Amino acid sequence: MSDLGFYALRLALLVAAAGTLAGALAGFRNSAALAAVARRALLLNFALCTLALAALFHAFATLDFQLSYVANHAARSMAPHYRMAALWGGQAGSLLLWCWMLSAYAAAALPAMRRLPALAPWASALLLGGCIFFLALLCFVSDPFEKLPPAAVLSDGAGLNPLLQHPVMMIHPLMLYTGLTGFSLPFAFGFAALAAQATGAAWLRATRRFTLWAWCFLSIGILLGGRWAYEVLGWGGYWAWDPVENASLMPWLAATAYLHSVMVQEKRGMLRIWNLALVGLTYTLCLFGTMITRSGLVRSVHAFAQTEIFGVLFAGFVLLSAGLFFGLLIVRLPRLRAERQLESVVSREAGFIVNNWLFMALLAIVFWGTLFPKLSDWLAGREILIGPGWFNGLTAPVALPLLLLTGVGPLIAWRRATPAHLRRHLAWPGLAGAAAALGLALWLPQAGWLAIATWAIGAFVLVAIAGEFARALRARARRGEGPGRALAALLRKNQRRYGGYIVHIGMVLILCGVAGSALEEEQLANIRVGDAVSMRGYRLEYRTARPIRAQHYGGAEARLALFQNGAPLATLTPEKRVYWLEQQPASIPAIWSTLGEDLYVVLSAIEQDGSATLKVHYNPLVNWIWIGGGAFILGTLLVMWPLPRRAVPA
Amino acid sequence: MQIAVGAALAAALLGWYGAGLYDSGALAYYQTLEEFRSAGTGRPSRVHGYVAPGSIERDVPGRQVRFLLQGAPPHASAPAKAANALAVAFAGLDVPDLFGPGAEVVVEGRLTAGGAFLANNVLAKCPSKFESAPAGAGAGAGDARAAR
Repeated sequence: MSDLGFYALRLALLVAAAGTLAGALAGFRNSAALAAVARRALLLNFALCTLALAALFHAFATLDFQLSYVANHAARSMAPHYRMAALWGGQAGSLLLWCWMLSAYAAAALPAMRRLPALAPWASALLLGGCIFFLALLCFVSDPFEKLPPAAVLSDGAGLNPLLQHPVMMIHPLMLYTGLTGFSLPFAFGFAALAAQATGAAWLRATRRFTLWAWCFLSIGILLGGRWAYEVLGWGGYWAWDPVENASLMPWLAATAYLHSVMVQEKRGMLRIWNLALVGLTYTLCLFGTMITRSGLVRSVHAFAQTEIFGVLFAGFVLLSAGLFFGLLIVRLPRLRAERQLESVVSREAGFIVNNWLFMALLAIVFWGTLFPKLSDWLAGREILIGPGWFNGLTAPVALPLLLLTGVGPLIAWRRATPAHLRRHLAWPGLAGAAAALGLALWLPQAGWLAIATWAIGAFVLVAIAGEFARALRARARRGEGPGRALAALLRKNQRRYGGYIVHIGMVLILCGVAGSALEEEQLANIRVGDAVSMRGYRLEYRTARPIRAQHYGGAEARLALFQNGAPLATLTPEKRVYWLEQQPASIPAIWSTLGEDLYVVLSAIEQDGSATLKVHYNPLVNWIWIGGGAFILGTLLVMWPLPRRAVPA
Repeated sequence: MQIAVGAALAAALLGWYGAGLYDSGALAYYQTLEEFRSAGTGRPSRVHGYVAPGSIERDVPGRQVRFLLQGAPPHASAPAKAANALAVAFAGLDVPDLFGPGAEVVVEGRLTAGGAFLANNVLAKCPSKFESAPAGAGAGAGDARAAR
């Protein structure tokens, strides 16, 4: 079976190369026959990549320790589902997964290509060209089907990093990859639109749903990554501005900017060049982020083995992709005039432009902060440490106006807004925001201006969105519709607008949850059995410590009785584990989670004298990040759900 | 118009960068143990080194973890080098998971009058466990934070 995978990869490389060639030739010569060859190559390439992926899954399922990759990432002691997850626990496997997803997207784009025959040759050439690179890496640099010499084959493998053996880690990489690779489609179609000189709205419409799809999964991936860090890493937080987190955030920022600015092109025919540039930037950042983390260019918990050649090849590929796209964009610049000019600074389109600049500013900050340590290493000969404080300090002042715009933007009319209209619509939200700011400043001055501003702006935006819903519902109610039916009709008839509002609500909740960190507290305590530690009305009583003897790890857990204002709530059992095979310790926190706050308890150690050293974090509002994340995803699904079109959208 | 808005924002952003760069707390080089030894003062510093095996001492009542920091990885250095080690006292008991004998660490704090280094933060780095790293690849990997 593994031989099958081995040969499937090689064959897929040939097919991808032939298909790329056919697609490019078809584009140059305008040949329908060659375009058909390229389309068939897409399908065949997908079939072969699927075969290779299935072969590797089979190798993990049957624990084929002849394969060096399986031997290095799986172990008999691992639960079956984690054995499967081990497939993407290392470099070769994650490359194969990436490659398979690319091939799957390329195949999924076939209907869109049939609708846009002019773009099909170039799009398929670019998609298959991407596959060539990954297939070449898989065949010649990092082969998942490489066999160990017979003498080196052992009866058990090395196992997967224990921190990755967590339910969230089963799906987080999948979501992230689904998102990152998904941006290859808008990229390929954008390039094809440039090459075929068909940069109207057709390619945008064709790839809009794909873009939303990729964006949705990237968002889920980022959220799950934060959740995993919170539940497993035991340092009390969910986001540390680690390079790998930044690597997934950067394309997200670019894609979010694109999803907004694309509306300006659809409605007003402006920003064509900018939209193409954003599409190019998004996918380049997807590749770039994968490169910097996977090649070990920047230090990260996610860096795989650092092989020079891998980094050099990947850098070359990123440069080539970006060079091709932006080179063609520059060549085509003279033909890409905007249909209209901006008419007023106070207009929806101007709001979108400011939105885009703010997103770009965030992107620039994250980019700089991620790469600066490496740059300073090259230029000054030593690496600098950039802490989360730097990122927080710089991104917050940019994120706040962006949040404000979330509320204001949708209220401003296209082309030119009248002051009277704005006053009428902004009065209530403005009042709510001001009241929230004043109330919070009096009630919680210790939160600091940044958190208070976030919550106040959040209140402003929520009321503004509620007003939008209320106005639309009232209008429908006047026509005699009941509220339930009116809401359903609203969401159905104008799913983009009202789905977008739900996404905005989600974002507001996420940022309000993040702002809760301004009030977090922590406490280090060493207590004996029977003693207790108190924090914010909670009392943790240390009952006993017990050894844990699981199959692949051991250690101790502390049993702590949790009381709130004297009433018993629960028993918390934070653990200190050591994974046998890897000799790696891990602190698994115990979390008491409510809507208002999380009590996050880490067992630092059971000391020699039997006392327990605990680190207790009081984390306000963290739950709202996950709740907001849920609303965010729900809204995105609503926007992209393929409802049958009955009426012309307003 | 677009350009003007962009330029104003870019300028504002540059200002923030400037402010960020001079914010000494968030951004700092770290020194190797030798560099720190030759320039060591009472100023706040970040020093990179390795935990000398057998030197870790948890002082639970005193809320401190004390250890010796040496300049080279333990297996590569002769025992004599340990004489040159820096005595570190971490003000806390919550060392990161990856902290242990021989671990590569960066300690943040300052030298006290007694010649010991009082650390308020210990960052531990571990060799990547994601893939068996080729020889010489060094510590590939992550910072586990234990900030105070």
